Amino acid sequence: MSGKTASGASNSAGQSANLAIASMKSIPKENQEFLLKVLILSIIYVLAFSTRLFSVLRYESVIHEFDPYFNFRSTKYLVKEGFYNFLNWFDENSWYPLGRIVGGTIYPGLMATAALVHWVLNQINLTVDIRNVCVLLSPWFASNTAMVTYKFAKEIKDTQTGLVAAAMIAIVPGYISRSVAGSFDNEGIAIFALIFTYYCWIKSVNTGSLLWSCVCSLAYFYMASAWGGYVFIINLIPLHALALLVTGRYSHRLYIAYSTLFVIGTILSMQISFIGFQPVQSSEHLAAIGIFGLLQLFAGLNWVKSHLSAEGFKKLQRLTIISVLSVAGAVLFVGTVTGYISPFTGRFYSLLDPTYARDHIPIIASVSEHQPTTWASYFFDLHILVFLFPAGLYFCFSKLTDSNIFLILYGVTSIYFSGVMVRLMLVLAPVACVLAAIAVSSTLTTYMKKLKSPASESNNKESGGVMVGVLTILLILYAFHCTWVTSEAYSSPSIVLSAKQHDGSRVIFDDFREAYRWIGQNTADDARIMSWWDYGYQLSAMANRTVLVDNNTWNNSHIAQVGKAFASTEEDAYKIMKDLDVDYVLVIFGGLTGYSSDDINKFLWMVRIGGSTDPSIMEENYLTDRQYRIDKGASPTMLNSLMYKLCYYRFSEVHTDYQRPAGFDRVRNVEIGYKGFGLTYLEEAFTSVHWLVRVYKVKDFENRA
Amino acid sequence: MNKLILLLLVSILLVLCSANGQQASTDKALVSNLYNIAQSSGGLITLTPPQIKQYITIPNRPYELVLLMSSDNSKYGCGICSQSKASLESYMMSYIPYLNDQDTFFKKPIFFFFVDVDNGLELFQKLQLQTIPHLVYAPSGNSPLTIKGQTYPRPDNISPDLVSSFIKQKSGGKIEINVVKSFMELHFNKIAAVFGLIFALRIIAFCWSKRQYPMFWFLITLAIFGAVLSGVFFNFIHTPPLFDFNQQSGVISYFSRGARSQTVSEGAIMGSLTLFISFVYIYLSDILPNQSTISKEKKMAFFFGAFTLFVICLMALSRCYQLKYYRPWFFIPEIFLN
Repeated sequence: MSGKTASGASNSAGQSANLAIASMKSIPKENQEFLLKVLILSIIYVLAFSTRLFSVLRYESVIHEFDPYFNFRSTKYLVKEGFYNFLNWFDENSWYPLGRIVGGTIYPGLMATAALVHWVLNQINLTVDIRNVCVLLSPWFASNTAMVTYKFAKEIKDTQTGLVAAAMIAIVPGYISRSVAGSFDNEGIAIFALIFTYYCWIKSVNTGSLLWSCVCSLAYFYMASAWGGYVFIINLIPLHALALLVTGRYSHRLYIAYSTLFVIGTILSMQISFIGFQPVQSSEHLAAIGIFGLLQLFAGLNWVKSHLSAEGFKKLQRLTIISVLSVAGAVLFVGTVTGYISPFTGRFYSLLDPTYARDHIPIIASVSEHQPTTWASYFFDLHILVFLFPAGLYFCFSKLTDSNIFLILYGVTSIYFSGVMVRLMLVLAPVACVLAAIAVSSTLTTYMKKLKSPASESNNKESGGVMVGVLTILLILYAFHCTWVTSEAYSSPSIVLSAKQHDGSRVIFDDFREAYRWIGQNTADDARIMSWWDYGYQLSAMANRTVLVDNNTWNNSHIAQVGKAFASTEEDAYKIMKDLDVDYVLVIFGGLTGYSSDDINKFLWMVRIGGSTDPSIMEENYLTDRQYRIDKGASPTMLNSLMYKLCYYRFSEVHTDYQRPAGFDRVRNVEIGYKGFGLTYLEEAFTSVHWLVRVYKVKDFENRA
Repeated sequence: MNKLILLLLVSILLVLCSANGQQASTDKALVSNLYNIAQSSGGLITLTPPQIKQYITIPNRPYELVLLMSSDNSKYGCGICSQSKASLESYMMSYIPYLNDQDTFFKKPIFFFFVDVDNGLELFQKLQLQTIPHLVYAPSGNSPLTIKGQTYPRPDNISPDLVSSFIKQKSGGKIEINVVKSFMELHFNKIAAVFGLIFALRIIAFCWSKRQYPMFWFLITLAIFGAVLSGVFFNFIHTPPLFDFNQQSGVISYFSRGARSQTVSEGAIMGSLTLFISFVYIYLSDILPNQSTISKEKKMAFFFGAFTLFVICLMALSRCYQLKYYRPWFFIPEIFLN
């Protein structure tokens, strides 16, 4: 009976499938393609969102890392106080005693977007908490990025390329690293804005449409409101315009597109308080101004050419070029000398000259994401795109168009920048996906034709089958790699740590939140906490206490004071701390758990940064034989520094491993060199369960009576 | 009584004077001995164990010292050691004129010594040195030998200018050894700049002549891509070694552990291999299918040849990646294998 039912069911299923196929066949081919395209894009949209949810599923809906905590705190303020109060917000809880004018020192696009989404959802009675909006904003924008990438690649080549590019960018690790759930950072929305601006630019260059140029300006404005990387756009687009001019591809379409974008985009971007008058004053924007002038000149000369004889035009051309170059040179010189034109910023310099940060700005050089990229990072973050990238470039070069030239320039500049700073892999990932998609779709087009057409003298069907099969396998392996990387490497929130045990189970370290909660509940409301700048944003947002320095790193000398305090002896540090009204000191210590990103491993940067304002703090005093040591061979300066004492206080009472002596540091894999010491000017206030976070109270001055 | 006291004082004074005179003559003998050794050895004195006790670790030295604590012995596998010794030997070209100028030299004597680990183990222990090489300065007088604040910061980068300024700084400006430079050293930068400019102009002219060929620009972009992919900026900033050398096992490994660092060779291997795979891919996907002049059989042969090469190179890439991440580049999750 059951067998009969089963066979009946399979028959009816087969019939319904046949019906579906028959009904599909009755649909015109264009409609079939459209349906298929919508289906594929829908799957990509969902996939891009869901693959970024590992962190939420594994941990909980929590904000990640460091900067996102400030963004989250700011968004909450914006939602609570309104936009204008947000722009005028003076945050007295950070950079004590200086404070920070938040409205004038941030790109508000991220907060505004999250607040808008929150508002819209609440308007339609979906009462979602602002935290959840912030946590899920980046994945949602990643889905949108995939759709925009589809349009971008389609505009450059064709629909097939667009679909492949969208699928690739949905899961590429280089982009996922900054857009997983909880990663509430500027880049999460900025990549969408970046690709959207580029799409609009290509569209406006291809069509010469004023409407598309205006949309492009709006997209540029959104990008400028969201991320400092807008400078990349305002240099790449002029470069593209220049390349088109030089290669004899000047057209009225280009003139309309660029002039509109420059004028409207510049005016709009100047509405962002943090940007202000930079678009007309700073060196980073000079290229855009220069190309704007050049285009006007070129267009003007083209018009005059039609009214003059060839000889007369040549004379006029020579005269114009000399005059323009002289005037431009004089303006540049006078502007620079008088200080009207500001020089390149340190961050911009460090992109042009990779050694600049190392030699001049230790704060920039100290950040791990500002380090130059190794080959391994490219392979990890791009997988098969690394060898498809040059192939995509080849296809672009073999058929040069206005949009292909743009893609080439985007590819070359972004590969350069990604080499200088590992963080800029983020900018490379989208163009790598588009170029790889061009390579894949071109290959598939060639070989699918071979497969479809009958075998003949000139057609090898076998090669078609082999090539299509290999590409399919490569794409599947790409998906495996991306999913694994997302799951294992890019879904850790940093605020909650986890480690895999021998049996495969996970152990969770929630010390950070435990410590911040303790500070929030056990210290005075106006208590001032000194910690290294990495933890400033988290402290402000989670413990709601005043901090001396934070991740904004706008004031080097203030950070140097903190670095100096940690590098000094307890007695000297006490004087500095009292000068800065410090009530508590927080340090991160990984010696017990094996957490390697702790303050002891960051300590040499504190010394270097502290030494940048006080030459008496010398790195060599903290080293022994040029080696950084914390065992018995460590230098006396190191062993007596405040950082050493706060990290290793009472550590000699602890056995970390069975076969190791007491006070064995599991990160440095050595027994500490100075044990059993006491503290004179500070007292231990709190140590988290796994000793990851240690908080000390700074004692009051002794009573003189 | 008074006469007796006076006599006592005079005799004490005489004894002191004679002791000082003896000390002065001993100092002179020491300096002139070393001077002769330095002259005969070309400036840099290689010390034997007895000489170390005789000239280095003595109290109240009448001369300044610069010690290159290093080794010639290949068993230590120290690549920089021979390089630093050679650099110091070339510095002697500047030191010899100072040595020959006896008036100046005997007022402010300074000697350069090479101390080998095998000969001067005691001295290494005394200075608590655990690595080689080190360039250590020791002032004259009674101050004990120490490395605290007296070591040359970058022994892997010993240049005449830096050594002279190091000595000047450590001697408090007393000793100033002028660097003797050859014609090339004096004018190398200018000559290089001129040649560089000519070369750059030549390159620009070449590029200009080829500006109409897209594939020329494609090759230029590929060169940039390959350089960046091989971690050229990392190499430039962090100056990693060409390859890793394990001193204990004596094994050379081209791939270092840890994704945040690399050796020069591994970057070059991966960069060039990737470019090669890209070329093969381009050949398979565009060049070969558009070849209309060759027969179908030949086309098939070329296709499968290139395809095999493509797959082999990809597997090689995957294996190399595994050396870094303990996991091949191409992998199938266990869930699909079980």
